[in-house]
Amino acid sequence: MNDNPDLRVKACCADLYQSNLARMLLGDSLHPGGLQLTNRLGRLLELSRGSWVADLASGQGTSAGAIARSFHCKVVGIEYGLEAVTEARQRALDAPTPTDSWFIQGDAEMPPLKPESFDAVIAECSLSVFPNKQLALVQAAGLLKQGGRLGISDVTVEPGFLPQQLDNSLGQMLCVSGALGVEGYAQLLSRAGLVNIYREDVSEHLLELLARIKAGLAAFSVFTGSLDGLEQDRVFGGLTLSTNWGELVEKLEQLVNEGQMGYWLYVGEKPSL
Amino acid sequence: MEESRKKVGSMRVKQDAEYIFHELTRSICPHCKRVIDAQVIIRESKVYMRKRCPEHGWFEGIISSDAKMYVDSIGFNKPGTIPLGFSTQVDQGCPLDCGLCPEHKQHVCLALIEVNTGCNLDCPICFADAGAGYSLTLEQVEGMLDRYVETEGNPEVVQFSGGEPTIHPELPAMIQAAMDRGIGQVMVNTNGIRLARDDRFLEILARLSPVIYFQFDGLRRETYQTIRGQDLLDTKLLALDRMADAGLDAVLVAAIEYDVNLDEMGTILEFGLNHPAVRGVVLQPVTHVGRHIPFDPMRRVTIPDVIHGIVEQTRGRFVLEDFVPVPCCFPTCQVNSYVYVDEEQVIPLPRLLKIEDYLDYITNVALPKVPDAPQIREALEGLWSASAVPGSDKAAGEFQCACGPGLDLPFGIDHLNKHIFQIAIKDFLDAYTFNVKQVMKCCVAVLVPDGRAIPFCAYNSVGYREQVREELTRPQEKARLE
Repeated sequence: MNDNPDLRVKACCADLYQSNLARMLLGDSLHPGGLQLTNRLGRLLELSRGSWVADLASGQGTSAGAIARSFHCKVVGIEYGLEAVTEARQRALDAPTPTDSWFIQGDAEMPPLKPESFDAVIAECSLSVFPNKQLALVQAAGLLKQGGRLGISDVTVEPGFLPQQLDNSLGQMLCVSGALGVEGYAQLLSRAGLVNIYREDVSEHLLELLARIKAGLAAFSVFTGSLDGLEQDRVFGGLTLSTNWGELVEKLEQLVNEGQMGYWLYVGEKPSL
Repeated sequence: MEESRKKVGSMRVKQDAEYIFHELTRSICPHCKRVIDAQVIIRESKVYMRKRCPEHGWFEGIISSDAKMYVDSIGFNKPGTIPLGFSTQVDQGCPLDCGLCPEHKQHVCLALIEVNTGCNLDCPICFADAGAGYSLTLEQVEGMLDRYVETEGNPEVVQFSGGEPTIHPELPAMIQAAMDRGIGQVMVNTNGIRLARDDRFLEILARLSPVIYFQFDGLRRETYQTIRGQDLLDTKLLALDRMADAGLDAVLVAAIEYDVNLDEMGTILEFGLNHPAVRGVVLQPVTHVGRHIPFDPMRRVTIPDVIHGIVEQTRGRFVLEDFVPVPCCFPTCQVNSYVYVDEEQVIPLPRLLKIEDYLDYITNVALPKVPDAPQIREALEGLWSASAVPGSDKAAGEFQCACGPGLDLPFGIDHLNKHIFQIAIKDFLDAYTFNVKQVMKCCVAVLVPDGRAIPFCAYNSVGYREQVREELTRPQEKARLE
């Protein structure tokens, strides 16, 4: 086992996203807004035919594949979970269109890629779960060519507003445990040396996701009721469902409606020298 | 003298008109397509449109066989949603500026992409007049999808149609392209022949899992003979069984015509309710555009004929009140119902709550005083919409929300997906029934490679289809000659 707490978090997160529970509650695209927002981010990044794009924490490659095909660009996905990498490669092969995408197992905070060689880098709903966000963004900016763009989408939580009970796997699944405020991400991008920072509030997609989770939780409790403990372990990898999740989701909805929590897109540009 | 006085006397007795003048609207001349005034009148409890072209004279056609149903539906009209972008300017006025022009009253709930004009059948009835023409490239379709995303932001549904889309070699890539853009639901409108015969194609489609909008006109061989020109029943049944095995969801779509299959609607419905691949049935009175068998505009199938027919033919399973107008488009265009189907029971959703309390926007200004009333209205708006796709998580979630208080459903979305069943009745306009008022709030549009989204009935009746076909066919023929 690894004793470095940061690495443990990464491994745990990667496991969580590979879990059936996450897939059941969040659907195929594991972030609010799904591929619609991925498409929006691609437009803001002005991706075009032949652009090179790095996708940090690419999961099962859903976004990477969609971007590669929609914008006719070349996408390299970095993902910590090996199973997800294998799945992503298989999906690219199964797609009816040839997909210029490659998937590598690696640490997005230390991407094993050539610096200054990408037109765009994206991190969808992943920065918030990186233990060292500033390091990750400096590394990401390092991958960009001059004039290249970094695009992130992430959950925002204004400092001090995170409900205590969310310090659990639900909190991690929703990327809220390590989320920053709306200003926090903009400052990170600036500190990583990026300029012309643009931001867009897309919190309505977080509300949609929360509504879906609520419906999923209802189904989940019925389903698990029909399994014994061993079966549950096998199906959900030891994750257990707390009975108060439903209430928690409602509390989160309230925070979003009050503006203390949200979902935002950011784009920053690497200056040309 | 006596004689002439008698004559004058009879002329001085005022007579009532034989009809009620309901409204004045605009329509088109069935011959020259020019825009003309049209009167909507009610005679013997039926609704007709009568109009006069200065060149071609008077025309009259029936638009609803039940005036009460027609008039009662008017309240089911909700405020439209403005799209993020328009593709044309207001110039000559509706319906000549499509589209959408800034005067259009609704965004696009459902977009159609006709990927080709070619077909592997040659049906006597075909609103698209399938045959020689064009075949879109993947690049053209990608451009249309991008434009759809630009104008809608979060497009709900795209339906690939034709011609026959399954004979287009790039259809799977087109479906993938729509899914890659995050478009909520992708449908394929097909006659099912290729699904019945091609294993590899079925497998590819099953992986992408679009909802199959499956032409299915009945269970009598003669019905197919008349509508499709050949007996397709065995092929249709085989295709459906193969879809069930592959895990594909289907909606049965029947073109309904007098003296052909008006008496088969109950059978189609019962068949659909019992087939594992089928999530819904759409009944469409035959639209007399493109190719159609000779018809009398005073005797055509209208929405009330379909509703009354279902009620009679299902022997008590449905009542008239189970069918509720759809408020996103103009309420005389479409009627929906939903049922919860279990082995033992078939429960129509309108029995569980009074839909009109939520969707009659004009009569009911205030929502019912029950907990979660706004959420229930939102869920019902989702179900009573041209973008509702049976078998989707979205529809299942909305069903669960809407009937939460009325029906104790101990199951989740996955279960509901397979157990809720949609019935939709759509009456598309033809040159005799064309009403500018309906077209102006139409939410079903045909996407065109030049970026336009043209309301479906305008596309079929006003001449857009012919123009677009001509424009798209010419360069392809030229390329072939070179």
